[in-house]
Parts: sequence; C-alpha cells; structure tokens
Amino acid sequence: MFISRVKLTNWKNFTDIDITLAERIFIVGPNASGKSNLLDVFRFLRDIARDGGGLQEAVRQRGGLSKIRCLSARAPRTDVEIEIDINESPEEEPLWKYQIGLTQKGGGAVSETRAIIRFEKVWKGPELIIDRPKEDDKSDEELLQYTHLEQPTANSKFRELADFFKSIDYQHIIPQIIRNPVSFQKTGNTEEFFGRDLFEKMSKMPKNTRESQLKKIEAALKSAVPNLKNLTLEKDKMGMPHLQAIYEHWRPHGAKQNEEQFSDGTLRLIGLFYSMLNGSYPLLLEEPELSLHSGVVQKLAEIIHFMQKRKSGKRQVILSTHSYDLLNNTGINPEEIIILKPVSEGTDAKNVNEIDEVKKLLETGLSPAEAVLPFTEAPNISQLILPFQD
Amino acid sequence: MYIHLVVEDELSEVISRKILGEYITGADVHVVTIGRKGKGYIKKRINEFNNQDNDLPFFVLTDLDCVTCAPELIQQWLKRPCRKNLVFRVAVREVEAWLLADSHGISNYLNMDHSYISKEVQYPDNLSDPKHKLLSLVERSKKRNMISDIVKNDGSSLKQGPGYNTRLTDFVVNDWNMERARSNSDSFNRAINALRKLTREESNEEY
Repeated sequence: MFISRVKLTNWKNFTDIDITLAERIFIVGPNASGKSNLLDVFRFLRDIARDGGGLQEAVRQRGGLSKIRCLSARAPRTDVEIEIDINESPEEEPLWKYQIGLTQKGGGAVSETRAIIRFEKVWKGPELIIDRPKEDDKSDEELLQYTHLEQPTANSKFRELADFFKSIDYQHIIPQIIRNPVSFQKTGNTEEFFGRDLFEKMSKMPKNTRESQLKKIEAALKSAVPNLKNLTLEKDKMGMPHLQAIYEHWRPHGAKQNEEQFSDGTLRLIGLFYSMLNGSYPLLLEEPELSLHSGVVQKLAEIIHFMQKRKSGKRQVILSTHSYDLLNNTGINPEEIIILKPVSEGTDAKNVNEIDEVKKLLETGLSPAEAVLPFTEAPNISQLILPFQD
Repeated sequence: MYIHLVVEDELSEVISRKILGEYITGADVHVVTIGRKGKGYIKKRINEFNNQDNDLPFFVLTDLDCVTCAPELIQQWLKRPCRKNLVFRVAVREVEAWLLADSHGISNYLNMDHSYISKEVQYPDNLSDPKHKLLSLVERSKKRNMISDIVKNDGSSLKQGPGYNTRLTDFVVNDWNMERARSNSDSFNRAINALRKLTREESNEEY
C-alpha cells in the first residue's frame, strides 16, 4: 500500500494543497519552502497512530497546534485539515481514505491548550465507515481530544490503516548520533529514529536474515567504499550491538573498525540500504544525498528503483532533495516529482505532471535535474555573496 | 510568463536577467535558468530547444569567441531556423564586451579616468578578446582590493580571479547602464531588439 494523495489545509506553511503521489517521490523546492514540513505530515499521522503516541502527544511534540497551523491561516478557514488516500496500486481507486480536522481550545493562564477534533472520517473503499463527531462526542467533548486512529478499541474496523500509519518510517541519519548516542539521548525526543536504533533493530533480526542482508550491504558498499570488508554485527560487553568491519590499508591484515570510525557517508549508505531491504510501509528520506560522493548520489534514484522491486512488496519512498546529481536521471517520471514553490501566502505544492512548462521541458529530453531544479532556484541567487564584498 | 534562459555561465545569466527584466515589459516575467554549463551544453541542446513542437519562450545566449561571425555560428549550430518564441543571440565576441560598452559605468566602478577607458575600448564589438581587455583594465584600477578578486595574474597571462563572478554581478546589478551600452555595441543593441519576438507575434528574421 502507498500514500497516493495528500490534501492539506493550514498545515504549517501549506495553506491549501492537493497533490497526487507515486510510489517513488522526489520533493524539491528552495530552502525554507517546507520540504521537511511536508514530510512531517506523514510523521504526524504516524505519531498519532503509534503505541504510546496519540493526538495530544503528536501535537505537543510539535509545540502545540498554534505552531502547526499555517501563519497565513485566515478566518473563516483556520482549522488544520489533513486528507490522505491510500492505494494498493496506482491504477485502482483508493483502498482507504482518512480525513481529520483540528482546532484548539484552552490556553492562556488558566487552562492548558488542547487540540480538538472537528471531524475525523475514514472511508474503506467508497464506504464511509467512521464519521465523527457522533452523538457521544457531542455529549462528552472530552472524547474529541482523542482520535479513533490512536485507540485500538475504536479502530478495529480500520486496523489495517492504523497499522499502515504506525509503520511509516522516517530516516534522517545523523552520523554524530550514531557515533555518540549517549550525548543525544538526553536532548532529543527519544522516539525519533535518526539512525540511533539502527543496530538495535538489526540485532533483533533472525541471524540468517541479518547475515544475508549484511552480505548484500557489504557487496553494494564495496563499489563506493572499496576498502571495507567483513561487515558484521557484534555485541560489546554491555550487550550493545555495534557494526564492525575490516578496513584494509597498507598493513597486511587491515584494521578492525566499528561504527564510531566509519565515515559519515558509509553510515548513511548502510542506513539507506538497510531501510530499503526491510519494511513494507512508506519510507521518508530527508536529503539522502548528504555526505555522499556525487558519483554515489547519481546512483540513488536507481538504487531506490531496484530496491523497490523486492519480492516482499514495493515500499513507497518519499524523499526530499536539493541534489542535481540525484535528479539527473531521465528514468525519473514527471509524476514522481513534487515541486514546492513559495507564494505570497505560504507554499504551493504541485506534481510536475500538472505543470505544463516543466513537462514540455522534460519532453525535449532534459533530465529532471536540468528541467525541474531551475524552477526551484531563487531568482537572485547570483547576488548571494554581494553583502560580503568590501 | 516563464522565460527559459539558456546561458554559458553565471555572468551571462546575470546580464540576461537584467536585460529581460528591463526590456520585456507588460507581462509578469519569471526567468528560469537552464544550463550554466558552458558552450558545449548549449551547442548540444540547442536543436532540442528549437524543436518546432515546443512553444515555450526561450532566450539563448552564447559567446561568439573565435568563430568568424555570428551568422556563421548560427549556421553551424542550428539545423533549422529559429522557431517562434525562441531567441538565439550570439555576443560578439563575449558578453564582457557588452559590459565594456558602458564605458562610463566601467570607469566609475573601477575608479578610473573615463577618457582612458574610452580610448582603450573604442569599439567593443571589435575586441578580439573582451574578457582579457576587461581583466587588463581592472589590473590598473585604483581599487586595490577589487583587483585580486577579479584578476589572477600568474606572470605570463591574466586569468579570472576567485571573486570574478561576484564582483561583476555587483557591477551588472548596480552600475551597468544598458542604454549607454546599447548605443556603443551593435551586437548588444540587436540582442535587445530581438527580444520583441518574445512579446509580440513576429515572424523570425534570423537564421
């Protein structure tokens, strides 16, 4: 299953957008256009649905509904609204549709601000199976602080959808956190991935699966990092799992290294390969090009393509990028690209399929890097350095 | 209206953006730059951009460099006449000549005598190496800290310095007067006149 459409009202910098998504999606846009904010809507749904999550917690983590709501939100439409379609295949009608509208109440010195559900709707195929507020919501307003999505007793009729949201994976590996997890444990919110629990996840896999996956990862890494050999997962005295490898150099036997000594690029590639080999739910990647050599970045679009062809099912990949190298691949289709464009009230988002100018440019044989990225460039970028002259 | 700009490099882009911003009037113009990857890229792609099925507005600018004359370069590159909505211009011999064509602007920017500049650059279109001329003028500027940004003198030749694009962008954006430049360079004047093709229904006169 994959997210085939997202419609947002007043979500962060998106006043009003409605975009279709493919199974591989590249989000491009200038700095501060809201690429992370767009990815965040999927994380938000995950945060509502996941164990120990819930609507109030998901809103709290984001600093309250006033931080989520678009700055350009104007009466009479000030609610935050999210609408998501889930498809089994691109050709068919949506399998599931989920809609939620949010406002807030309380605040000030007296009471705590709470997010309140204006409506929550679920369609299974064409059939509307949840339609809130219902009678009991109206008689007990407290109920409107909790989604049906987060409650196992209430989501039994759409458990498949709840599990789908719960399993959305966000990957933004920060090598510094992998190398020194302790220093970050106190500061960050503990639920976030950031690569911290990568090795924990690996250690929980069946031994055979893990070893065969590490073998594959090592074989793929070999072309990017030729000196790295014998990738294994080992536990230290405290029982903590670590990745280990032999790094070949001028000494006859090479040196044993663990992840602390791996380069940023190596760690990010391992994380990417691992995520692509596992899981069948959407994977969100934030700028996967970071720390990678441009020769490797040029391969990313195809790496994702081939890794999506796994027997266990296609995993949707939604990534944000600024990278020319990543997009310089004519195998990327117009419907796989979303362009974000700042406008006077927030940001507009469009699938390239709907933008005639860009589509025509692609038809002349230009790659998405050549045809799409120029549209995301700030017009006065050449004047960037002028203030630094003397 | 989107205008697709195809140029060799950053300086040509800044110049083109200023031209388009000034001389395309009456429409809300957004300029989108493609290329910036040298002359070879334009030569390789020009016939795709010039495909008759394509009606997107294009402004393509390249330097003449050592080819004898602009019509010859166009003849060599284009398989068919320029389509509607595509303007292809060749700067004689480099866009730097268009900057030198505003001798007042140059003399102010470099803080040098105007009489000296106008003697050195009488006919910018006739310069065999406009960029080299520009670099050699900058070298004699009284603005010392600017020289090392724009020019790298390795003893035997003058090359582009580490801040060339930024300094000349500053000049183009803030000091370069296009009306003055126009009156002094036929190549530049014709480029501006050709822009009419993007705003009016005009048949094409170039090949």
